[in-house]
Amino acid sequence: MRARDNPFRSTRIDGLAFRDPTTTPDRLLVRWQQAGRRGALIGPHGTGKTTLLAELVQRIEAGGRPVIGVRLRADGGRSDRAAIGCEAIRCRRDAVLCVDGFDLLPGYARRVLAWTTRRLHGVIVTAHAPCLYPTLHETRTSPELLAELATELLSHDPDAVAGAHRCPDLTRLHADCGGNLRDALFGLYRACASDRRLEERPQVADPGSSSGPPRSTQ
Amino acid sequence: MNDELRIDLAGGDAIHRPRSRISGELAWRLDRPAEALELRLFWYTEGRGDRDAGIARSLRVESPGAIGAQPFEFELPSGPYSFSGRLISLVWALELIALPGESAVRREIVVAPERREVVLHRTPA
Repeated sequence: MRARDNPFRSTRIDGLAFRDPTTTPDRLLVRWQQAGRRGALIGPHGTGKTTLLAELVQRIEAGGRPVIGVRLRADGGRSDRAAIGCEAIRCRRDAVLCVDGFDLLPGYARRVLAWTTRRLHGVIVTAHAPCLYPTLHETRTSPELLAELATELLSHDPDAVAGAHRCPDLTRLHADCGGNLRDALFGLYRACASDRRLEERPQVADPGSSSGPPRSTQ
Repeated sequence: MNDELRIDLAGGDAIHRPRSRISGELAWRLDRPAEALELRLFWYTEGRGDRDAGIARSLRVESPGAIGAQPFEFELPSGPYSFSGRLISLVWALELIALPGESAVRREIVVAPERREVVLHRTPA
């Protein structure tokens, strides 16, 4: 199967909405308000923290509030710390600062950041464990959630269903990936990519036309 | 929002060799006049990893009004070619965007010397 046709390609995984039967982004925003507009989304890798943060940001921006987003990388080192320091200092007082990967900062930098951003309208961070900010939500995954997401991704491609079904069962895949949904969905990507029956599908692009938000700017 | 944007390719031909010329006509019917329209010739990747993208050519139509049409022509770059493997595909496309805003239409094309997408096969072990 061509990578562009794989129903589990990264852009489709990134397009999945946050879902958790126990809460909604709107309810979490209420909790955030009640907590003085400070809060953390915590959970292990691949459980939806970044997806949830993006949805909260979307709602905050839709309400007319400026949001400054900073994404820290595990290999970012000092440049990331410098960048977030600059953002915190430059940030308008009426803005909300969102930091994805708060616990990648060293302990002293986390405390300095919390101090320098106390004047801001709000702060939301993601982290792998409870941190300086009140926990708004703890992200969790389950084999059922994996099945729901896989079904959604496969819903437009019946041919690929066969490929996906050749991989280990979803409960086992979820366990093998330690609950990391991103890894599990990429396991399904590999299953589809290596299905020889899907390789026999037409290889020449069907250059149709489609509308939607611009891709050249994404 | 019922904006209509269209990219018509000359002869309906969406498969081209590198460095050849691609031409056609843009047409639009917008609810409200846009500040500008921008046609972008760009490539992007799809697959296992993060998306990468690059804009090769662009054409801006200032103050296009609510309804109109305009021909366009680009010389295609020498590469990269349109290709697909199991891990990554590279896709060329033309995209017409009404600015400011989110209205856009995209038309995929193939840019490859053999006039078909290059398909990467697994090397036999």
